[in-house]
Amino acid sequence: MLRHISSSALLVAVLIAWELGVLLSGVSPLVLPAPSAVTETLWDGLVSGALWQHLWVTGAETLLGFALGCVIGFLIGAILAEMPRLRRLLWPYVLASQVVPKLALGPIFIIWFGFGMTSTVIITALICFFPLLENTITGLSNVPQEKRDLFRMLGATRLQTLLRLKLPTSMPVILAGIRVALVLALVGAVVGEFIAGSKGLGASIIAAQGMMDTTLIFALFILITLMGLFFYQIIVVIERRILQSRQKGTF
Amino acid sequence: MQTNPTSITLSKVSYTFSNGSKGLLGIDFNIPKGGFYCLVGRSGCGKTTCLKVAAGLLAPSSGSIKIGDSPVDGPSSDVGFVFQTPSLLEWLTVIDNVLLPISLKGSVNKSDEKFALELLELAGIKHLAQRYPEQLSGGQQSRAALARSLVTSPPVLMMDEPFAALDALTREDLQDVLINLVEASGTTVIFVTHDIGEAAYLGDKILVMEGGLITHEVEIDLPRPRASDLRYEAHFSKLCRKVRSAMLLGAGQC
Repeated sequence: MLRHISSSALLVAVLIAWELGVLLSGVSPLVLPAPSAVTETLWDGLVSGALWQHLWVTGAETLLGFALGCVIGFLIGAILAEMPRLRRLLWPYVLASQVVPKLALGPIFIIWFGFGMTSTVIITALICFFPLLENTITGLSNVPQEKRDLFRMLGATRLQTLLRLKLPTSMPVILAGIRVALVLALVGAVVGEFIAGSKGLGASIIAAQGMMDTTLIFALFILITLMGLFFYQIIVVIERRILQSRQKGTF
Repeated sequence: MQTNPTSITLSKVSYTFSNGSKGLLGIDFNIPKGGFYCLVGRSGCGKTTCLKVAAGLLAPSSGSIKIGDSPVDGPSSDVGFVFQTPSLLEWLTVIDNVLLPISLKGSVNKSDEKFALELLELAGIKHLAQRYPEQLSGGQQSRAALARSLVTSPPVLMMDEPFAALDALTREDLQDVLINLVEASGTTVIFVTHDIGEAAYLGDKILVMEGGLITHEVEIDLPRPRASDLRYEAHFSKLCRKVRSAMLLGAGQC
């Protein structure tokens, strides 16, 4: 409780210092708007409904890209973890695909899929893919040898070993990958909109930049941060539920 | 809970690790039906490798292993195996962990559950059946692992230093639990340990290993059933000294 009060007090102190700093220094709002102006712009945008459609588009792109990247990353991770030879064969290419800056692929996706949501979702999915792939491989490959020997002694099939030993054992590692992927998904969606979007919070930032509307850019930053925190909290709650049900054996 | 005990035979079994080092250099022994043999030796002498080869977890470089008349060419459902750590699944209750070998083969019925509870009772942890492994002490987890290894009534039980991490009193309790369970079932046992007293208390015969070889065999002519007081008798101490000398001689030979 004291920690929360201290954090909130720090935020209030920073905002007051920022407000006073802008007022006393006379710096132009084009360079640094006052928090009161940012709050007013944010409030107007939400009340008028102008920001909601962008919020919705970015939220949808984030979640779609996140889901797509996670599902593909998990499935390929599971296949590569179960087939070490295939992993040795494909790993250099998987690594190379991740070293390429995803945003540099934006123009190609615009040519292939057009300007809009599809391209942004694919950029987001590509960004989310790797943490899930890496964590799935790491989790499934690091099950203690004695437990794997136990399942061998008990005559378990490969599928039984995967579903009843490896997956439950590696669940905390895979869920950590999902958490990382979600944070990256929002970054992917917003930056993807910089390149390939006409709607969404990222596209709105670019539009605001064109109009030199720094106040709106700050308002959009706040909205993106709040959305990120909201998604992160949801994932933390889901993760806790999954780990609790795993502990209770209902997983 | 009577099983159908069977013999175990290893003939000229050798094992070479993937890095080329020799693990076993021609192991020969035969454990008769219902026999309780202990493998003792210093760390790195090949005890665990020998047990894993006998269980079919490792393929021998040469030689043959038979359980009864059947050659061993991989893990078999005739063998119950207890590892150095209890290796319980944290997300299953104790009873579900004990029933794991059955649930992997099909559905668990009422009589399986009843038998699992009987084993837990013999192991002294029936009251903990609905707990999760992290709620148990190390000794209680070892008891659960022991019950799990016997739930399918395997003719052969192989144990790899299962009580090594426990305190002396808990270990003595578990040795008695093991003796009771094995005597009730008539199971043939290979028990790996580096504790001479434990080997002398449990075994019918002790095989002393050094450098991948069995260097000595010591017959344990103590009466059964065995009880804790046996450990303080002169003959028990004499047998322990004999095993210790054999281990020292074995080390000298290699």
